[in-house]
Amino acid sequence: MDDNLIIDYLEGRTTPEEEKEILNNISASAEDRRHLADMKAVHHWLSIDDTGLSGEKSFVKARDSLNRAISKKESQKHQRKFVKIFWTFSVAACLLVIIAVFSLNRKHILNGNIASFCNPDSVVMRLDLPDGSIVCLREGTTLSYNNKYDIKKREVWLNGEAFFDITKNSGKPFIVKTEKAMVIVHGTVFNVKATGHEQEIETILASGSVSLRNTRGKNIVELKPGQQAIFNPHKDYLEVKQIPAWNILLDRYHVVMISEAPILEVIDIIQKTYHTQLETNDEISENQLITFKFQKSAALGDVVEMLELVSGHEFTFSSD
Amino acid sequence: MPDLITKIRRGDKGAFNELFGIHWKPLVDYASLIVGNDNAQDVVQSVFMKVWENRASLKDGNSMRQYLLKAVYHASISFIRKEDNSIHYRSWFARRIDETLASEYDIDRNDVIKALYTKELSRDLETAMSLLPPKCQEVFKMSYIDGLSGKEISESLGISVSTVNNQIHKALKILRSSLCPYKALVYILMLYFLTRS
Repeated sequence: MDDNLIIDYLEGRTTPEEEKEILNNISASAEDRRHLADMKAVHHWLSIDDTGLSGEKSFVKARDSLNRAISKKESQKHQRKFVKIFWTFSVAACLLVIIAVFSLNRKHILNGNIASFCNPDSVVMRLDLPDGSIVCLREGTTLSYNNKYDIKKREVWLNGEAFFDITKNSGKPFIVKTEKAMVIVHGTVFNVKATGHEQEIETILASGSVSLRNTRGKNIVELKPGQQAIFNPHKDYLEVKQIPAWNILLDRYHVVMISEAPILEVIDIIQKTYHTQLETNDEISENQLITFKFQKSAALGDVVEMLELVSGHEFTFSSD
Repeated sequence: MPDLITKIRRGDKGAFNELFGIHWKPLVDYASLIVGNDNAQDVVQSVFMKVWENRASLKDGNSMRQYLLKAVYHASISFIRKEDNSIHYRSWFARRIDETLASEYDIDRNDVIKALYTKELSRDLETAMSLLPPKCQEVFKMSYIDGLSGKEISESLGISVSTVNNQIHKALKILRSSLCPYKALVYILMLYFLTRS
């Protein structure tokens, strides 16, 4: 392809006939296509305006716009959760839950503002804590924390069963308090089940490490990944066994979580979950490790898009 | 002192804004290559929204710029694939040309793009020159600064003589194909010199 024609095109001087010729050339030849793309890229790059003040102004505008968009989206999310709770729950039942929470956490309510969430729905409810940690509440579960959360320590109160994915912060331990025991966490993925009417507290650890303590803070057991502990403080009974933790969490929460796993393994899991075949033209390194989470109910397209974002590769998938 | 990514992973909005500040301009510049000036900021904003939503899975390492460029590339491609996008083209052919070229701008597959947007380059000729391999720089110096003819250059570099005598840019084209990986830059440099002289 003639370079003068390319330069005319980049400078906007070409006629539609000449543009037709360029289109024909780049459709027919991969080399021409790449060449024109390179030319245009450099031409574009050199013509970018870097002048100070206007750039700074538009940056500030863009940053504010981004922060507004994020706040809006996050408050919508919050509202949706609230509406869901409101409509699926009768007023009487709601009152009961509030009383239950109050009696459990009376002491803490007196201490200051408290955020309390209960999930009356059979669909798992996801909460994002202020430090970025994620909690998923199963049906009938209540979780609360006060406004001192994330100041010196991260403390939540639980009645029911929840799954925790905790961001690592060794300076601020994460503590799950229940009526009969507490779980101290060191950056991790785990599940705690402690229902008021039952005597036992069950803890499942998927990754990281946690220690189970009694209400006075005395250490009962340290768990390793893949272990389940069942503790009954009244009978002074403790049972620790090895279990397929990820599968149990998948079963109970329909959340697939893979952390620091080879990308090929992640692709395999997605393929099996959706009965599909992912394909890519990119070269995929066996050593690339990624952390990846998705809800089993999510659309395959969304999951693949997320995988593309996280991995930096492009994928196509068969639709059946 | 925890690094920026660690802070963002913990939900630190200030750190997130800092990341935005570091990468915003080159990302918008890159996006505007594919989706045009009017849409580039929207595309970049959508990418940062996703980064914030998925902050827990952000990875450490110094390849943040590349990771973001790749995300902007994907967002830009899906933007131009939308039927009702508002990019202005001067003709139907120009539109088809841009759509055809779009896939060539993949940061992982195009070294020119990678050089332009991952290195912090100032937009002057000297920096553009320094991007060229030493041999290429030599040619430019000989041609435009030392004022040597195409013949003299090709002789001293041992390149076929007959094709370069009259038209210096044709000679450079040959040199480019054998010596310079940044061929596009060579053209633009040529253009720059030719339009100035």
